[in-house]
Amino acid sequence: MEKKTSSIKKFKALLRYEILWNLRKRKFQAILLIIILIQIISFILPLIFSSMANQSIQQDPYRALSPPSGFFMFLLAIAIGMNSIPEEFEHGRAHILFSKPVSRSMIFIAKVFAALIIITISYIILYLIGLGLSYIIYGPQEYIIISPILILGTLISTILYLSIVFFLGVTSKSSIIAALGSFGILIGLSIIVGILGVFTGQAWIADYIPGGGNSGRIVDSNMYIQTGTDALGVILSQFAINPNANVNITYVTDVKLGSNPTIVYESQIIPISQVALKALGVASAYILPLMILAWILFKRTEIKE
Amino acid sequence: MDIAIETKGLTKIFGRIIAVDRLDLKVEVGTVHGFLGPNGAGKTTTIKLILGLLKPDSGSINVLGFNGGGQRIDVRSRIGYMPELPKLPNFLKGRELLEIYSEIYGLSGMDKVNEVKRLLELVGLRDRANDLIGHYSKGMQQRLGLAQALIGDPDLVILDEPSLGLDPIGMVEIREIIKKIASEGRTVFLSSHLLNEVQQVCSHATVINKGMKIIEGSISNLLEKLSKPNEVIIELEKVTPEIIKAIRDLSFVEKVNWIGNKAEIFCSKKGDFRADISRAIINAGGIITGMRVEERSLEELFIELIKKRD
Repeated sequence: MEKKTSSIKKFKALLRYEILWNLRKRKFQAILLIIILIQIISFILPLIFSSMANQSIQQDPYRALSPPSGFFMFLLAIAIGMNSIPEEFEHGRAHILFSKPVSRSMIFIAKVFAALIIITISYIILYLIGLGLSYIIYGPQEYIIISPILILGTLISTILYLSIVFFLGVTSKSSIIAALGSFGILIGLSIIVGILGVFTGQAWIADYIPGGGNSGRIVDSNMYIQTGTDALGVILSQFAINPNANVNITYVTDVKLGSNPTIVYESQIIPISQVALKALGVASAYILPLMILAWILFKRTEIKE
Repeated sequence: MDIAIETKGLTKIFGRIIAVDRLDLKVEVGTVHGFLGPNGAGKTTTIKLILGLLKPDSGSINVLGFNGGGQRIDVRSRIGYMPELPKLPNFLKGRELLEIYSEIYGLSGMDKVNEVKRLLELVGLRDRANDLIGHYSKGMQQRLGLAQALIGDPDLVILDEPSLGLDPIGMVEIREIIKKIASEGRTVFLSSHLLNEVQQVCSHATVINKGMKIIEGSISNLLEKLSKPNEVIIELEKVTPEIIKAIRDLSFVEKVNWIGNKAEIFCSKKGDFRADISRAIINAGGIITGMRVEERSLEELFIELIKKRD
């Protein structure tokens, strides 16, 4: 047969399609703008408070190493992922796209890849804004060289949410179900695991749910740190700064109700490498099966409507 | 004769509904083949099966000599497809859409630029090429849908209800473009529920209803096969008993309806009997002031066929 086309050309064409789509989506533009504004506010607010209290702001050489919160990562994943696959079916565009000489696997991979490119660029923009503001407000910043690791970690945290949104999108072929389902799963899991963890004294299970985790401090620097998948950016950057650091993690082990309610905590000192590995492992344990299942289902989808 | 599309016993079932029922379809290379049927007859499902958008429950599909049809990427690279009421990405500009699809077909550089320009000109969208598709009218989207189906110089163009939802001018424009595509020697497979459209554009047709093939052949053959013996309408200067008798005595005349000086003559055989009728009337002393043969359109035949099968 004639008309052989290189896969790279096709892939680039699909990437262009996806990236243009995402960049022109008002939903994405609005959420990115909100995240940027919140990030700016989070940098400026301490300055406002200190000037109100007539205090000078404390210098912080690590301030730029602050990724957006897990909720915003989730919102970004929703904004990009909720339409990516379902809308092709909802709006009937899949008819034409799937009739083109390109495999469904390539379409799927291009969709994921385009999402990753856009999320990465968004995080780079956020980091650069944070870096600029940190220099102005908190003084010279250290470990700028670590920033790719911070962005990579934050990206992995977001891919976890993206994989949930993609999986729901492929199975339901509905943008609304993909978005609301993802919200439901995360909120539901957080509530169930929160209650279970506190009342059974097994708070460690929070480390195993998407976005969950416990809190602790790095032993030497006393820096506050979170465990779990949402904190992968910070965990990996701290690991890169000091691979031998230990983290003192505080778990709730018991809650005694009654006239004098008490919460019992237990501390555990764990090497940061172990915290990083666990968070990476948990993220992978969700991302890989969900993405593979979504890919298989996407490949097998029939266009009935 | 080379075959562009061939299905044998093609069947697709959705739950309890048999959408396509043991369909044997044959589309010859270089023809404009109409795929006719009322709404819900199974036309779109058949097209989706041909393109590999749906998997058949049984039967075989061969497209451009390859089994499996559009399930193969290399076969899809030789097919252009325009779905019913094409839904195009509103977020892209017309030119961007054609560029992206051209890249998927392996075009780049000046080849891509020229192809996009050619297609935009063909469908009359050159002036609106840089507008978002979301700002296009229905007719313009339909024309762009047709343009994207022609990217990569396809050997087979499949058009599903190409003029659906268009105003009469839009319909004419689309038909003109289809005729132009056909004149380039491509095989065009066109589904429609508009018989007039098929009669105007196609050389061959297959009629289906309830997923089953009713009849197929060239348009002229179909008309011939389906046509009932002709009805001849005559107008006379004056009607006399001799003329009435002379007409009634003609061997091929089945029935005659007289309305004043006008007669509707129903023939029992196919053929052109105008000369025999004229001769009989003149011999009986009559003067003919008007005569015409009432030919039945494909539309009438189609409706009759569908009713018969229902």
